[in-house]
Amino acid sequence: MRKYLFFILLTLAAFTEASAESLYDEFLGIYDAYASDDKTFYALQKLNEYDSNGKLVSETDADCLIYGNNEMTRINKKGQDLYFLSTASGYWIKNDKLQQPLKISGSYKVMEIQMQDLLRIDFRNDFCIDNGDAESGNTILLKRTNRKNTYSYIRLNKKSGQYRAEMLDAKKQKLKTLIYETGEINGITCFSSVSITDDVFSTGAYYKYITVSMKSIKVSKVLFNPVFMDELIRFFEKKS
Amino acid sequence: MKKSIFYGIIFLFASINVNALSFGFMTEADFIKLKPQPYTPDYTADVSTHLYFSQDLNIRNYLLTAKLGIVITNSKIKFQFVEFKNTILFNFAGITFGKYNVYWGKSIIKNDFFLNIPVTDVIDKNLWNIKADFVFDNLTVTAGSVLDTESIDDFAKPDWASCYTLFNFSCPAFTAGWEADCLFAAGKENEIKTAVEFLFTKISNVSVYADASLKVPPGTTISNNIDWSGVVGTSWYFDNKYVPATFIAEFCGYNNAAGFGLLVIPEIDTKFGYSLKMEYIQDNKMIVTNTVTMNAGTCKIYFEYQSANLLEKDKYNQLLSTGVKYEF
Repeated sequence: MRKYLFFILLTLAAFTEASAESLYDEFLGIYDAYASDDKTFYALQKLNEYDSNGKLVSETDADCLIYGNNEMTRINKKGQDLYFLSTASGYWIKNDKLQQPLKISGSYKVMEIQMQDLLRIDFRNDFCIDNGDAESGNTILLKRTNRKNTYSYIRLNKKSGQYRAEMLDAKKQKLKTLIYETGEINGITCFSSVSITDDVFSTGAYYKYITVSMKSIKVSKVLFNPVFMDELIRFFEKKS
Repeated sequence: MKKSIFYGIIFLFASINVNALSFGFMTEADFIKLKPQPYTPDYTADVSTHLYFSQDLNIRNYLLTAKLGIVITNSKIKFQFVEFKNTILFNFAGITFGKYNVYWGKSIIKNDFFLNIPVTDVIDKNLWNIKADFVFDNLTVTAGSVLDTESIDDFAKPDWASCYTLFNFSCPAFTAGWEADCLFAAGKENEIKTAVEFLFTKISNVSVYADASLKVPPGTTISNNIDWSGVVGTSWYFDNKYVPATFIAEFCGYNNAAGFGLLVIPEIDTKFGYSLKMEYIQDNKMIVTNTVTMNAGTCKIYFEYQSANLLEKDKYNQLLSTGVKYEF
C-alpha cells in the first residue's frame, strides 16, 4: 500500500513539475516570439492610461527596438523624447539634455510606471522556477536569479487564455499585476498588450502597453550598449 | 584642385547610394548678439546657412553619417562637411572619427566638465575629433583628441589640438566622472585641465551634482598659480500629468579664483521654455537673465536678456540676444 502511495505521489510531483515547465515554456514561446538573436525588430506602441471605470485617460506614443533580450524604448513625454535601454547589465536613460546615459534602477518611474514593467523582462536568465514552493498546475512561482530586476518572485498563471504575472517582494507580498494578452502581429502570435496594475497603491486605475506593429530592421547587436545609445537612437523613425 | 577632387570623390560615392540620400537645409541666425563691452553698444548679426545632402549608412558594425554641402556664413561661401561621423563598433569598444558634436557634462549652470579648447560655442559646434570608447560594465573609458576645425575645413595645418580622457562610472545611485585634457596650441605653452563631476540621482525627482576643476595656465605650476573652480547644485523636477510641462527649480553655488556666486533658476521646460536666472556674485553684484525659447518641430527661436548689475543702478551693461535655428 505504501509503495502505491509513494508511486502516486511521485507521479503527481513529476506531473506537476512537467505541467509547470510546460506552462513556463508555453509562456516563454509567446513572450520571445519577437526576441531573435539574429534580427532586430522595430515596434510601434501605445501606452494608455485608464481610470478605475476603464475609461481612457491618456494616450502616449512609444516605440522600441528589440534584439534578443535587449531593448531600447522611446517614450514621448510632454513633447520630449526619453530613451530607455535595457541590457543584461541593467537599465539606462538618455535624453537630449544628458550628454552621457545614466544608469537607473528598474524602479525608475515614468508616468507612474516603473521601467522594469515596460521594458522586457529576461525571464530565461533573470528568473528560474522555484521548485521549493509547489503551486498548482496552471500556476508557477519564479525566483529571481539576477538583481537587475527588483522583484524577488513572480507568480505566473494562466486563466482564460491570459497570462497573469504577479510581481512579488521577498516576503511574497503582491506589488504589481501584469496581464499579458495574446494577439497576432504579422501572422505571429505574441503578447500584443500588457496591462499593469499597482497592487500596493490600488486605485483601480491601470496602464496598458499595446504593440501596434512590428517589423524587422538591420541594426548591429553591439549597438545595444549604453555607450552607443546615440548611434542606436538614429534607427528610430523620425516623427512628422 | 585637391579640394575639388576630394569632394568630387565623396559626392560620387554618395550618389551611388541614392536610396540613402536626402537633402537638408539649416539656417541659424543671431540677429542681435551683444558683446559685453561697458558703455559701448555693439552688435553683430551672424547668419549661417547650410544647404547639404546627407547620407546614413549602416554596414554591419560600421556606421556613417555624412552631411556635405554649402555653408554660407557672413557672406562667405564654403563647400565642406557639415557633419561627418564614422563609427566602428566592437563588442566592448567603439572608435569614432570625423566632424561631429563633441561635448560632455551635465550641469547647466557652470559646467567645468568640458573640453578646454579655444572655441567658445562648443555645445552646438561640430568639431573634427577622433576618440575610442571602452565599456566595462558600469564604467566607460573614453580617450580622444579634438582638432582645430576651421583649419582642417580649409585643408590647412591645425593650429591647436586637445587630447582628452574621460572615465565615467554610472550606477542607479549616482554617476561619477573624471576627465583630464591637455591643450596643445601653436606658439603657446601646453595647458592642462582636470575636472571631476558627481551626480546623485537616487532621490526621486531630485538631482544633486558637484563639479570641480583645476586649470594650470602655461608657465605655471600647480603649487603657485592655478585657476580653480567648484560648483555644487541641486535640481528639483516637478511633474504633473495634467500640465504639459516640467517645472525645474535649480539652486547652485560656485566658487572660483575670481570669487563666489549663488544662483537660483526656476524653469519651465516644454515646447515653450522660460527660465529666470538670478545670480549673486561676490562684491555686491546681482544679475538677472531671462531666457525664452520656443520649439516648433525643428525650428527653434530664442530670446535672452541679461540685466546690468541691479545692486549698483548700472543701466549700460545690459545684454540682449535673439536668434532662430531652422532645419528640415
